[in-house]
Amino acid sequence: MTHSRKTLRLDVDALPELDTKVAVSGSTRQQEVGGGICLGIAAGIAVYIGTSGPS
Amino acid sequence: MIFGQALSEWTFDRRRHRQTEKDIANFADQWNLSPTHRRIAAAMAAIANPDAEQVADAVRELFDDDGWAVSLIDSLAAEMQRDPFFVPPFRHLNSDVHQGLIVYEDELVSIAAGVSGVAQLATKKSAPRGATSIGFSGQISLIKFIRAGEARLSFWEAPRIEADFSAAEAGACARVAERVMTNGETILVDGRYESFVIEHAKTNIVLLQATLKSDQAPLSVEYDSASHRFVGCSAADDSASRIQMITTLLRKLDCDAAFPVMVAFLDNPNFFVRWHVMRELLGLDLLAALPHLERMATSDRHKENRRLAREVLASIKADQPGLSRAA
Repeated sequence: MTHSRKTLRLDVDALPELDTKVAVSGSTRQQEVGGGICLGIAAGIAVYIGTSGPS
Repeated sequence: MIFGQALSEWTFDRRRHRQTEKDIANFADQWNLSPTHRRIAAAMAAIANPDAEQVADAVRELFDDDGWAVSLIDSLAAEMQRDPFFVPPFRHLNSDVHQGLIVYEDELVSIAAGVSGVAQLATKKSAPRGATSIGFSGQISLIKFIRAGEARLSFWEAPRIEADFSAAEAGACARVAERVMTNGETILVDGRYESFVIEHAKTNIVLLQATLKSDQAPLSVEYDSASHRFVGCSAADDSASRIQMITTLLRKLDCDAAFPVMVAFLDNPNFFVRWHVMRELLGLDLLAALPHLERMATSDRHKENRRLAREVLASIKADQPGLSRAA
């Protein structure tokens, strides 16, 4: 827990994350075998929204 | 891709640039004012209760006569043959096996025309690759095979993706059928629990694909194609990801004034958005966020959110026992 400009803030990186991790829209964890998502949504490498890094 | 003399001549000729741009704009105007475009817009406007079933019925009628799509593709091909620098004035939907163009979009549906290349499919199937997935888009799609390419499709089902989806209970997918598609056939794929895989095709597949915007699931879900077990999931709607990114940015910028706006996102229908926003609120102003965290701990619709909120509350109380009373 940190104090900043008199406002109490929690360290977001230290907060727990969901067990069900949800990647950014349009991304996939593995390459699709050749089905509906190939035909529609542009697939890429999974990008999981996180807050790690300098804050 | 265009190389050599033709590219060189076009690149240094501003008059030709302007002509190509004008032709693209004219094509877009003609399409937007065409009887076909107006017919699609009128059909969507006439839907009284725009649930997925009614939108699907309206699209199916539009797909019954696919002459307009063939005519549109022919017109585009003619323009591109006449001017190789002509770019179709539609948003692209491209993957390694499919090239599509979104030819109509409104708040109820997006309609794309596209080609799945048999050579690209063969390359994808035969090339060395790592683990692969069967994807469940979370969206309801109506797909018309204008040219089916004698494609053999396998059909798959998985537990329905609901608002309370959790990885722990995602289960496995299963193959339920397989058959060869015929020219002109239309299938409805409810991506909330159905998917398909193109196993094989003899020629290029030309198809129309309508993606319905109502009644979609919060997530797209992947299952491993070998084990059929859950692999991962992503947001089905890009607005969810945008909310997550902007709230992280606002917190990193210490934007205290954004707090009330961010609180409004705690009512978002997507559970992962609600938890993400809660984390960012706690990182922005703990005291102001605490009542919302307490509410989430008792009444959030998703059990993972409730459990995590309780964990964080317990941790706060252990760290600073008087804090929750102060809030």
